[in-house]
Amino acid sequence: MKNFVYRVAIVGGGPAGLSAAIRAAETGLSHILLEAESHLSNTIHRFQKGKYVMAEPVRLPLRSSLAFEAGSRESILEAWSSEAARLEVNVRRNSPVTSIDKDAENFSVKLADGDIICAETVILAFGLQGQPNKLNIEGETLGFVDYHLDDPDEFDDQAIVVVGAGDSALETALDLAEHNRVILINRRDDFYRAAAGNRNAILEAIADGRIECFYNSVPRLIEAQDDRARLEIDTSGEMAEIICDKIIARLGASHPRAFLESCGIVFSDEEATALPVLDSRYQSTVKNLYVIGSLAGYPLIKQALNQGFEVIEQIRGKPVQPVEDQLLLDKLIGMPGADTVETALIKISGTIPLFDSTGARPLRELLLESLVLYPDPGATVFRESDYSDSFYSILSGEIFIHLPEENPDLIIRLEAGEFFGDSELISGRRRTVTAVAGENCILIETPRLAIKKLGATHRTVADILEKTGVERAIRWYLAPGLPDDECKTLERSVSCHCFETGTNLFQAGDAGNSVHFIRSGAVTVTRTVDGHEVPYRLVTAGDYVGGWDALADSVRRATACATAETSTVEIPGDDFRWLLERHPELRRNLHANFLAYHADNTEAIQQNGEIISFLMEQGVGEGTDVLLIDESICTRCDNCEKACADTHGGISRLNREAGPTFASIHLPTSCRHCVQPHCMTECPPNAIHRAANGEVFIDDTCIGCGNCVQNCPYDVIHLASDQPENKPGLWARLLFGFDETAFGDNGAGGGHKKAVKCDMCKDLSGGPACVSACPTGAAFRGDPEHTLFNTLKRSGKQLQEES
Amino acid sequence: MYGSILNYGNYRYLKQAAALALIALLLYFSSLSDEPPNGGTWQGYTLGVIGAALILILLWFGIRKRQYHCTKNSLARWASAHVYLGISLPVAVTLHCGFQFGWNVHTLAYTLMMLVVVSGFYGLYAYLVYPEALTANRNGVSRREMIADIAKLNDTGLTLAEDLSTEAYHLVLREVEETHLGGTLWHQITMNSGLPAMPLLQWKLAGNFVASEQASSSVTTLSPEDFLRKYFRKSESTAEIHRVVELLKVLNERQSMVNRVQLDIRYHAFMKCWLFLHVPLSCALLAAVLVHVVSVFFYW
Repeated sequence: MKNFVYRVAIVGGGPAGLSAAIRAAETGLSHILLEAESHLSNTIHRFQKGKYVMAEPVRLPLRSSLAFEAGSRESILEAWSSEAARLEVNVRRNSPVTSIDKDAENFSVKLADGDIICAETVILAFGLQGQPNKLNIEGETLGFVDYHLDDPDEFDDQAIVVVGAGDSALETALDLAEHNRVILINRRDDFYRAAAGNRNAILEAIADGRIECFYNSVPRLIEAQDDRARLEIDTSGEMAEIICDKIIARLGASHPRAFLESCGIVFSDEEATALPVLDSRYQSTVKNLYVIGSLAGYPLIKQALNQGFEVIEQIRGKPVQPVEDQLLLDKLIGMPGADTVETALIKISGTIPLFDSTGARPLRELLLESLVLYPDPGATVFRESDYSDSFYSILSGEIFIHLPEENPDLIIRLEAGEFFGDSELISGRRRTVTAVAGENCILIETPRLAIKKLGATHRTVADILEKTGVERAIRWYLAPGLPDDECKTLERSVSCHCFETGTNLFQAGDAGNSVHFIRSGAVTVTRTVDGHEVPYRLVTAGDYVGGWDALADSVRRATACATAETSTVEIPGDDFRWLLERHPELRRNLHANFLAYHADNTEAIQQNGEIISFLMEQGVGEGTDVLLIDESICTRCDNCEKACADTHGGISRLNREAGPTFASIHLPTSCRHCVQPHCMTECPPNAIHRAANGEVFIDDTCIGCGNCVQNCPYDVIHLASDQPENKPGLWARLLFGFDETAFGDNGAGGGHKKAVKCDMCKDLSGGPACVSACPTGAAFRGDPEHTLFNTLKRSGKQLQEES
Repeated sequence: MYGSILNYGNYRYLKQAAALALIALLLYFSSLSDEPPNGGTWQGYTLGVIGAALILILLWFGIRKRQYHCTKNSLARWASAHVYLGISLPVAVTLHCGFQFGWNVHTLAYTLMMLVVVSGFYGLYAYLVYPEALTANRNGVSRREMIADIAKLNDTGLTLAEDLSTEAYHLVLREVEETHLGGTLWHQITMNSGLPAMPLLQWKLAGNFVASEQASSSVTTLSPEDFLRKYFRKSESTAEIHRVVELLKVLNERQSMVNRVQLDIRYHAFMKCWLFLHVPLSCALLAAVLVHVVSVFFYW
């Protein structure tokens, strides 16, 4: 019998898929919504109970037929499912899709139970969660096995087996171990797949006997026994049995990419972060096969809802302009030859080679985040040592780059199609050059994250940025003014390297026949003094290490170790010596550096070495502004915390007591404003920015997802209510007393939780309140590269004089 | 890192306070020629005005400390000024009164001021000495971690004692249950939670095994191991001796950790306690000064 052919089959019942299905139901389009789980909106369903779901980005209008405004998880789920019921959306639950094939006309969507659904068009909207890997053993279907943990509090005083050794397995085991007997089954004999924090926590729990663990073990069979499960495992070749109440398997999930590729969809490149290639209407490289939502690279609910709507309209033959068109037109107004968004996109990708290969969709996204600037001739776009981090592409006209002070005469001219501001994109540090606009200049200013995202998803963009970066490292910084042909020779002999945190660029005693120019990250240089490794220099982006050894062609006198993820350009010693001959000022610079660092009193260096080592171990090297407390004069009055709370709506972003201490130097739990902020990496609404003076801050568009909280290795971000209680005034506090530290401590106000962190009091004129409110001067802030090292050096000398 | 509140701005406020004291002395000696120096001469009034102004400036520190949005002058600067001007205050005020004391509101104000200054001196001493002592005692470990360590040692001690005997278990349990950290300010400062600590436990453990008259002389002088080797008589088994020694080690470690936490609490208390005098007395001083000024003008 020939199957009924739907106009559209929608795979995945999340926001994107449901929005599409609702629009299809509303317009009478024959459709089927295939949902793998027993309920719709599984991802939101699995949010923590009562979680407040935000409706960012606010500026994006909602176009879906499915109503959506910020609210609790429950209210949203309730509204959506009743809407689906009202419009009689044709949903088929518990129907995971196993394959999609296309014949001449239609798609055949094969389901796990063997059924085949035929449809003219297919919309893939199943998100990034993927299908959890199964145990694939006998007895799996007896009802004892779960593949996720909704609420650890549902279990109490039970025996639970957790299978797996990844982060989610370990987190599940640790959560459950609080009230249950937990047995962990690990296929291997270590936990190296998991993050260090989870690994240490689980090893401690196993050592304490809170969790039992079977290593080198795999489950073989599950049987029911008096309402409990009997699990047979193979442990190092021997069989063992465990009687338990529940088995939770966290074995990872298959990445959706493989599935998409099996449907014939092409990805932009081989990188893990690559996205499927889509046209401006979300149609993939397979005709009539659409990809929307987070699967297509759009993590926000509102984007997904709009896309569901737009794709159905497209399929109905009534295409609507993408919802962001008006926003884009507003941005592009005044750009010559840009009457419509399409023509503007063609002009931009035609002029700027960097954007030539990205495709229409990513370029639209990029432009949504960007600004078009028309600077007057002679206007400064950014100045040397500014802390701005935008990336600029030149659409027309010219830009003059003024190199640092040592080379006042050297001005580099950039033309339409070129870009600048890229080296700070990589280094994350202050501007190293000044950019001045020329005649008829039109620029596209793109935020750092948007261009980084484009680089991460498009290999060609990353390649162009990388190649230009190396060229500029040589032409702008190392050997400015070098003739073109000599530059080219040098470019051929250099090599690029990346160093993980903690790895050595070179070690004392190695042959010293090269120089490393640091493009990003930071490197500590240590010497051995009386058998101790003593760090004495922190080298950051824009500077180089190993110059003196390379000049003398001797062995390395010092060890250079990456204190943050570091990328360098290595210049062979011969070329470096040749370069020095051509550039006497480079040689003078090198001599001055050598004298400054080597003439330093060895004992003073040693005294501070340990403190500096401690700070570097704590990751201070990747900070740009670090708060330290000298505990030998700190009276523990907590005025720093009180000041922080008072200037930030009652919630302190600083925990004075927490954090490590070495000698009398205490590193409280407070943001270090990292060079490459970890918190920025996965922020769905791009709410984390760097301000002009380097402060990393979170703006009001935060949706409270908690990604930054998890991504911060230094635990300095937490979620707190955005509507703190009203705090009594100063006089009321003086007269009636008030516990300021308790105030807003858990963000117990009535608002919704958002991420909060130190913003270095960027809106206060006198600098950070924590420092200015310290009555004894024990709290001080500084950038590790200059201030901290110098302060520590000074105090080391003082100590020495005193003794 | 930048030194203490005393040397702020290269002793800027020490110099200013010294200059102020010098001016006060000059005023005082210039008034010696006429009548006996008192608050009624023009020099006396001038000194009185200086004293009152100083009191207002010193009291304003309490307000400024809580003006967190104000970052114009750092609080460290204010604190340094507060200390030195506070020291110069009794000089100005004593010379203002011309050493005339009596049973009246004027001398009450004077006494209150002296009490505030003396408590302030103690506070300065505490702020200079205890941060370092506290840091040394902490040795890079937080109080929370120390308390977690005690809890862990409690568990280990109880497990070891349970293996030994019921009496030993009950002794350790009592010790665990009766250990109190902190408490009232008095308890915090004296480090006395009002309960017997380790030595008594050793006594009791010992009493369980040895004759009390023998133990009384030696238990405090011998190491736990020697003590047990010498007097252990209930059992000759080495394994049991070993367990008792192990338990005593754990309990000793636990006790030293308890002491560390108590010391930590004590240092914090030392740094805070004086404020309970300093602040209310300052408020009383303000009131007394107001009465003093009003009454002087009333009788003028």
